[in-house]
Amino acid sequence: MIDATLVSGFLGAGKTTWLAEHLRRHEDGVDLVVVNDFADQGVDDALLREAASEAGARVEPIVGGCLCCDRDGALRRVLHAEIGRRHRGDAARDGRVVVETSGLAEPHRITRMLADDPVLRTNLSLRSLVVVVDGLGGRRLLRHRHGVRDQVAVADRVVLSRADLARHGELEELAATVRRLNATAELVASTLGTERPVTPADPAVADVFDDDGTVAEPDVRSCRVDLAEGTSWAEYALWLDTMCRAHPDRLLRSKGIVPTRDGRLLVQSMGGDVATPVPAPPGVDTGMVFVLDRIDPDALVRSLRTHVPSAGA
Amino acid sequence: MCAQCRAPGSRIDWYAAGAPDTLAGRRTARTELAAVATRQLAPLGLRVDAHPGSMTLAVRSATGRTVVVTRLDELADAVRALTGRSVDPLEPRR
Repeated sequence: MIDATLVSGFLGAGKTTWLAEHLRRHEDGVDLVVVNDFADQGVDDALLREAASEAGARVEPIVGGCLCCDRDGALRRVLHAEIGRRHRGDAARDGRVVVETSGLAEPHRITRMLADDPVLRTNLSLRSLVVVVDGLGGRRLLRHRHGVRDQVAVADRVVLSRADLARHGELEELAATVRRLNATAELVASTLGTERPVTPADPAVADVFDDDGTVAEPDVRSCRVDLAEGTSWAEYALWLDTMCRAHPDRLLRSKGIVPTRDGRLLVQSMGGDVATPVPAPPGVDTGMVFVLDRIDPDALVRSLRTHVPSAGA
Repeated sequence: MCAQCRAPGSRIDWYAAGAPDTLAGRRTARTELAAVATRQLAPLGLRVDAHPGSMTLAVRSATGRTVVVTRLDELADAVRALTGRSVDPLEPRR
């Protein structure tokens, strides 16, 4: 039997950070980590590889679409192969698999797939469905994105990330909103994967969930841009800041490496928010992946080339 | 913007976090930011100066009105205060 943990959460919620720390701390050991990126080129698998190898786990990337729809066949194949591998070998203990979905995935479709497939149903049990919610921007997403509310509603465990940056009472209010959507899930706050309990605010501050039928049809696409060595950090940072401000609902996510004159930086943005850049781990390709909603990728690339000329042609 | 939600924006000085953590590195980063911002904001009639010896940036309009900022994410608010407009990088440059 294989125990599976499904890790989900919107783009930039902090899934990979939480999972990397979870792998480091996991006492039982994980055999396989399946990482799904919506973009054609994954960044998460490269970031997770170090933590996974420390934990003795293999990393299997599935890129270029969501596990719940476009790439559900790929997930099925990977899990079947893992089951086959365990059947052939002398497994001393139950297997453990962690599946990190893309930010746009609908986890309930994956759980349905696990339940519908006769091989998976017999050989794999879903131990926990963890949903990571951004501790700062999560409330905005819950108010305005139906898909994020759906993710939270099916969770066994909800992790509120970036707890260190939250202001007084903010996480508790977010926890109350989550509690309103999911009455039973375990709630924890997390700072770089280190967890602590969080108690929902009582009485809860009311939220109006207002996106039902009112937002334009989403048109989510991704693109990758290679940045030249010696890209000006000032040019890229100013462009990213103005983009995130002008289009917080359309530039859903950016993640990748900026090879500045002073070193390679891992730079990420989630909606209107930019995370603290950190030195890039080795083994990650230079390039930036963008997930866009109702923005033409060509227009984004043109804008980047115009405002960040040092990034090269 | 939704009345329930705060304005989007960062709570950390992430631009400074990406620059080298030395006095010279911080100075260079500030000077470069001023030069790049001046290029970007020229169509709005604004100029950004980084005075030697000071760790702030001065955003100036053509009439001399000045707003002093200390971080990259404060630039956008300064531009709005001085011109009532904001920059959209997806709009073609004039």
